[in-house]
Amino acid sequence: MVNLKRYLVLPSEVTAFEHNYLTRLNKIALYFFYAHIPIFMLVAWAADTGPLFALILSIAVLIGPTIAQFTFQSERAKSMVYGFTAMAMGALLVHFGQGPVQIEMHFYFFALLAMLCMFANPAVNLVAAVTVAVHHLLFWWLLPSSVFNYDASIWVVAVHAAFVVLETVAACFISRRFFDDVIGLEKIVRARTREVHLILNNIGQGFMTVDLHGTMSDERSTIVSSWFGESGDATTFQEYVSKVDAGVGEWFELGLESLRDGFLPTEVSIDQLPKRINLNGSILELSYKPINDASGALEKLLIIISDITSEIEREQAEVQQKQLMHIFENIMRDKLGFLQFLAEADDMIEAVAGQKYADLPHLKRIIHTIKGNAGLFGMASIASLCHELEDEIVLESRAPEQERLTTLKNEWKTTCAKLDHLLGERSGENIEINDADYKDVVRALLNRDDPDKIAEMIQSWKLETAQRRLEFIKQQAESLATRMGKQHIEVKVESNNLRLESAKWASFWSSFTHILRNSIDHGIESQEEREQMGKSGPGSIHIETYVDKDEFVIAVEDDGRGVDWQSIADKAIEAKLPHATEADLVNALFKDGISTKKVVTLFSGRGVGMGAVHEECAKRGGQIELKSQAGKGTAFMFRFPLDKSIYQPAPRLEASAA
Amino acid sequence: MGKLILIVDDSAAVRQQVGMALGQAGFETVEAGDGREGASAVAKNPNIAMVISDVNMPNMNGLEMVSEIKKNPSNRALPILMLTTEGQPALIKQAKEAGAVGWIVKPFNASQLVATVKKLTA
Repeated sequence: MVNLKRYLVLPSEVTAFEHNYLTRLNKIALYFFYAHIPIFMLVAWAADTGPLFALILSIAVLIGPTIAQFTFQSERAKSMVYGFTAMAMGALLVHFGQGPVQIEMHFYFFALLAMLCMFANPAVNLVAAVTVAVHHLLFWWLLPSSVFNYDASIWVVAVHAAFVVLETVAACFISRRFFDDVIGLEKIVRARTREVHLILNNIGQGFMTVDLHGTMSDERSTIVSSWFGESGDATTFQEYVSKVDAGVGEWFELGLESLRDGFLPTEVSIDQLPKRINLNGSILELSYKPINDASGALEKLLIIISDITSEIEREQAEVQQKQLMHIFENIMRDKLGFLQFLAEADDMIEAVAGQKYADLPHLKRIIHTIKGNAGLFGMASIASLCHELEDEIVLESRAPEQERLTTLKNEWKTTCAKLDHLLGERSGENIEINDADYKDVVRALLNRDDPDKIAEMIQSWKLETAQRRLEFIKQQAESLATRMGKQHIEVKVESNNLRLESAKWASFWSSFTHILRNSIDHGIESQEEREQMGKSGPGSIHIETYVDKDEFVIAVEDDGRGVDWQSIADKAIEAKLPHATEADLVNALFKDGISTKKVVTLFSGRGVGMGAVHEECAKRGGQIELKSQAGKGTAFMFRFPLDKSIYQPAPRLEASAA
Repeated sequence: MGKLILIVDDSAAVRQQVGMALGQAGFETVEAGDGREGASAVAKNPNIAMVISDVNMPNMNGLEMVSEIKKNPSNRALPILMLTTEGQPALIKQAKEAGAVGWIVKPFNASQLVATVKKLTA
């Protein structure tokens, strides 16, 4: 019953479209019914029922609707009045059409009932049906000659009523469908638009479409104006976006020009459009989707603007947390080494940010070293910043902008600040002695050895044990192999109980990692390759420090494939370096820019590392010897003049006994 | 035999990258290290079907090179694509006014570059 009512009674809202439609139709209805008057007079004259009476009665019936037409506010109410009027006019026709065709005049009721569907309102059909039913019953009883030309009984009236009911049911259905699907279409569209807007305005992304000149469509997400402000006079996206970032506007304009030119593939041109806007600390991402017309030609662009600030912040926070974990592991493993790395890197970063470098290759070398070491100690963000800077230097052949160098420095400072609480005081100087050192001193004291010698022994404790340094390098090498996706590498170290002054040797060790990297990345073959070569077991690297007469030697040896001399020679030729003798090639190997690796990775391949090693070695008056046998391995020997920074303990009793 | 493309860039690394991308797609390439070398390569070699050039270069920059090449009426149809780093829209405008057909921002996407070269030399 409720549903039936909801079906017959229209929703109260009257759209502008419905209002205009009904206003017009109601006016037409009034004219239409006034046009009946002469017809009725004619019919009355023909049927001899009095044309003058027809005139008077018709006008009397039309007084009501005429008043309604000019006084009613609601067009729907006027329509209902016309529903009643239609039936009254039908009744007049039947009345004045008395005689042989009086029954045929009843057709007009059914014609009118159908015509009333034009009002798109079931209530109009109902008013008409009720009117005609009441009229027929009443007149059949009071004035039968006005309705029938014979002595009709009640069941005849019932037959008429049955036809009216049938037609009314169908007419109500048609009216309602007409209302919902045609007259109410605007409402449907509006409801859908509202839903779409609701979605568009609540997903944190801004949408708008522009044509190939940048002209914006009216429909756009409200969030866009919360970012860029009201568009005001701006009709194009480039004008609009220029209010917050002129550069983006310019690039957009250029990109559109490229699209309009059509010389480049569409997706290439679209890819050149600006992708990011920095807006008071927020980062907005712009993406574009081409919209083609029916013929498949590019017509418009859908611009999707997303605020990716929190996404990026979250990613950065995650990276930093991961990084801190890595760094922490490294600190746990070797606090001393880590502190040294911090001190060195601090100097290097100061040099870079303060533009205290000799030339471009020098800058590149420093950045490369920071990258390598930061990578080793788990500072991924620093390593990747350095990688970008290095790329830029290679691409542009000039120093990166100061701003970018400052970014590196800031990132470094931020990372260090977070580390401070992990490290405690960074400059704390602890002396490390092992059991053997302790026993040596006790023994020397008990033997009443030369006090100068004992003092020297104790002083040496201020020096770092080479063993500790080598152990650390061993860990570095192993973790490097893992991170580079290589199989396990056996690293053997032997320090011969030497001690080294850490401050003097720190930067050498720091460049030394390049040798390891080369060995792991280029030297040692894959497991399959090794098996084919008949080598058993995993690749191995042997590192040893010892004193040979008056020289301090650091020796590194791997059992990999050896140096690819042909490749070095090719590169030397390309770089216009001497390449005739083996010595020439060794020299070339240690020159910047020579790398035999085809792929540049975060770890190696730019040919910068070896130059750094060479530089560090030369600084200490050292020399490099290289022995390489194809398929057998490579051995480096770094020979330095012996000085106070190296302490060699006297041979131990246990050692000679063993 | 593939079409001949001239790559003009002062960075050997970029020339190599571009050369490799185009080489794999079946193009022949020649290289020039600056605008002057680039312009003279075009003057000497009528087989060059397209030029890909950096903007900032020593001796003669990309803009001057485009003007130089386009001075010769027979090069009017020779497509010149600029490869540039972001941050210099004014230079792009000038390059286009001088006769460059378009631009791609470095670092570039190899497949896009190849698609562009294919379209421009078709």
